[in-house]
Amino acid sequence: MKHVLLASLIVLSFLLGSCRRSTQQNREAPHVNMSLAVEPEAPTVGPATLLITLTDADGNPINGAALEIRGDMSHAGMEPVLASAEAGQTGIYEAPFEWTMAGDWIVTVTASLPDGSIATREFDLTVSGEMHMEP
Amino acid sequence: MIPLQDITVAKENSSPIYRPPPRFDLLRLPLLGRWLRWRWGRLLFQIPLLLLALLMIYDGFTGPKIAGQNVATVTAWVHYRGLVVLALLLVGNLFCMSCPFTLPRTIAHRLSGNGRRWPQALRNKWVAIAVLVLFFFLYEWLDLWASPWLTAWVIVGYFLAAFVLEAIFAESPFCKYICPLGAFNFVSSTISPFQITARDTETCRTCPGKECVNGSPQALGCGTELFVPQIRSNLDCIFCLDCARACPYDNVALAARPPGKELTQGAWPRRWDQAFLVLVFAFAGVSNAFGMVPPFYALEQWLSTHLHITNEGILLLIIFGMINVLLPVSVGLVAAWFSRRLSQKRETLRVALSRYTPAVMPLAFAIWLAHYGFHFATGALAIIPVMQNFLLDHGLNWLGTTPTWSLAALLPGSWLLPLQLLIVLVGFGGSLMVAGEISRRDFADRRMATLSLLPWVLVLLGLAVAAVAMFNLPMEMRGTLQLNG
Repeated sequence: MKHVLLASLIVLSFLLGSCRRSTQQNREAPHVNMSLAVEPEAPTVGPATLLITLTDADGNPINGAALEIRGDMSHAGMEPVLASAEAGQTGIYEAPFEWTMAGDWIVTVTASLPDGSIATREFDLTVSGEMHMEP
Repeated sequence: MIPLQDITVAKENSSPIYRPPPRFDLLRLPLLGRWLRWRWGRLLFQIPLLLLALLMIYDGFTGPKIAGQNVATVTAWVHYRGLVVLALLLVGNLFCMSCPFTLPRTIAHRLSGNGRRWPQALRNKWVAIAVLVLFFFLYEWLDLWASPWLTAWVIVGYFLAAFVLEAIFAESPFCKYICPLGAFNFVSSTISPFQITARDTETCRTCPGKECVNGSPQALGCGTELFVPQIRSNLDCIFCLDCARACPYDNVALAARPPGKELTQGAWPRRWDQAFLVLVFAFAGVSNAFGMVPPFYALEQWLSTHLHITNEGILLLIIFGMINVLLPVSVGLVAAWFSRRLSQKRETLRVALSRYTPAVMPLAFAIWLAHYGFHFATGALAIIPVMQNFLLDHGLNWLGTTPTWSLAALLPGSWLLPLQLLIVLVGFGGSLMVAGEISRRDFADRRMATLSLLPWVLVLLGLAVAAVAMFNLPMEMRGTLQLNG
């Protein structure tokens, strides 16, 4: 009985391994440059603004994209912070954001471009626990 | 057939064999009891965890690379750790009972036949302590909590280690002498409210086959070679219940006992390795939480500046070597020396050390519970969007068409710190009670009892203050070290 079960599980794991992930089927846009700037410049716990710049291979700004932004902490089990940005002027997209905890963050930006393709980039940054005091 | 003289517990236990029959026995409950004693009862616990382990390996290797979105990391570092400490607190060593790593091990055991005996020199907890310390170091150095890929490799490593060792050796050396999870669970289960025991010790005395340890044609005997009527501690018991299945007289009970009872009754062998396992467990509880608060990063930075070391691995080795090895060893030896000196008792330092180390357990476990409980309370529900995402990635919308990423916390954030402090305080109180009981047990003179206790009260106080101070600090989920330059 145990041997049959084990063999079934091995077969099942191979079958699972052959499944294609739907996220891998998106049309990834080639030659899109994406950069991220954060305000305040030194990220600290609290509200922030993310500035994402999109340009094509020639450095021309890309406007009219829809951006989905997701902030994950490096540790599993923390609620992600979600944001979005649309339109954009001169290729710069602005999104209000909130760093909910100090530590290592991974910001994933997924841009749906006007031509229907998708560009995804990840940015690693560290948020400190010291609050910025407004003057 | 295992000669009874080889059974460690039998040699070290000098108490009378008679004990009254257990009042509450889980194995006597109408449905649960039958299930637990059923031949395939354990397998039914193991199969779900085996499936989960395979799922974790699969998603760890092929799924999202961000820890918070991957089944492997969320399950291992949020759910496993949280649920295992809750199970240990409320019932006992349920994870070892359901351990999926022992399933292929059983096949290896059958392949190997009789195999070799585990070397006599390694029949102690030193290897387990070393592996536990190494595991905590690797956890910090490699940021295991942040890497689905490495988490999957850890699980694969467990399966391989259990299989290879079982194929070479006749007994279960992986569980008893090596597995860091097992070492954690064994030592934690000493505060658990349930323990294997004999219903009627007279039946055991006249039993010719000792099937509970030697096995029978229908069931394996105890994998870790414990002899039921002489079990007074949960140490080394994996709750597999093979003893209950093998016993021809249905004389094995999984009985309720007051939590921490074994700590006050001198049930542990008075050995260096056993004493240091407890101390390392306690200090590692502090260091594991310390690795997530700002002073830890300040200390790393300070060491880096003053020692001119920029290699994070070496810096972590220094910090965790100090807290997890040097500190428990030196604090334990100093406390034992002062305790012996103050009480003027003529005994070896080993005996003086072993006397009060059981008293460290309630506080040590409380620190782990407060830490792992925090992660569980803040992230238990995260498994829902992670599973939704996993299914959607495979074209399945059984759990909805959009992952509900806002689900994570089980309890309001404002409850966590008071709960953590309460847990540590209860653990500290429990440790003081156990220590007081031990001192009254071993010293007829009340003054000597108090004096012998004093150094250990200071150790407990130091641990409790360190834990409370840490839990009061803002936690930072960091894996990187920002060194100068």
